[in-house]
Amino acid sequence: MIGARVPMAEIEPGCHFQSGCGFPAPDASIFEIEPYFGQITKPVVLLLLGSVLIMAFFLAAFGKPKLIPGKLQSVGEMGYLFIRDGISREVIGKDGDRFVPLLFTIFFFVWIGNLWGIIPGAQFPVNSRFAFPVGLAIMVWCIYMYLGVRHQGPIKFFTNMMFPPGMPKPIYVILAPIELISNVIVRPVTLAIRLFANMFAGHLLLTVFTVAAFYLASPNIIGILGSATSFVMTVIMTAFEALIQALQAYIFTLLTAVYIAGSLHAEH
Amino acid sequence: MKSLKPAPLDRETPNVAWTVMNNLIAGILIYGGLGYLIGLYFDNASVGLAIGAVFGLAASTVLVFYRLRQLDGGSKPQQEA
Repeated sequence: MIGARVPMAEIEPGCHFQSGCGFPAPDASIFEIEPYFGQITKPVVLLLLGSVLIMAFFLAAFGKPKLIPGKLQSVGEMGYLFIRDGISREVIGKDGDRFVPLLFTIFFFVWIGNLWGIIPGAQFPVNSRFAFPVGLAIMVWCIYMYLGVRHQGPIKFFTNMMFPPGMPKPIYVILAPIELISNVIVRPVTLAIRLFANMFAGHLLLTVFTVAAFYLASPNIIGILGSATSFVMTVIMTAFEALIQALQAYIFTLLTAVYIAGSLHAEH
Repeated sequence: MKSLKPAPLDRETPNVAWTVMNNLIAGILIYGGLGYLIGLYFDNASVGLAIGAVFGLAASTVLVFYRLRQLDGGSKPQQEA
């Protein structure tokens, strides 16, 4: 069944809206998954599998490039051009071309991680475990801090960051700390939380409707209507989730590009 | 479902647009924290936190205002504030 994301074992057998046990609303515990062995959990396996799939796909697409691209190569080139023209050149400019491999990798890595959330059988968005977005955000933070220090020099980088041009001088006393905190601390935090929260909420939402479809199913008017509505909502929300997953991967990549651009050229 | 490719933007526009939220959070955090510490000194941390957070929100709004104004055709903000 589409979107059946809760193992049926977790729902008490016989728990039904006519048996008076109350709606077993899914909570954060659905994100706590027993490891298969050692520290290897489902998200880890999905992440590795996703990486392998991306590699296999792009090796197949670009392994033997032809002047007149085949189907696979066309799709791969579309993805590449989307990142290069749609994100890198748009945000960083022509000198951003050397960051395209990074942005390209981030986009597809985040996207496949999210996409597992609606793939039947897997049905767990990897990025709904906070550690994964945090790891990505730390990587992005290291990259843009390093680039800023390298391209603008350590002192100029921080003064450019703290004193954006075009403001009356006295106001700087109050606004400079805000700029500093916002760029150095709040940026990576919001980057990680945005991705995590979207995936977390989406997974929870799908689970609620799926559980409701089972919980309400019964041979009377409330049961049929409620269950059917929940089921239809599950399908609709799955489609919606597909959109959100791609969108979050896009936003994550776009923001990475924005931060890199900010480190390369100071605001003037 | 529309295409995910955005309309061509001014190079600075996405930069500033995404910075707004970070600025607001940072403003509340830093001046809320500062207010909290000052309040702690005067044995009234909660009042300090409240005043600080509101001040921080106001300050970061001013910051956002100036940044967006700068985008607006490069017109210089007036020096009256």
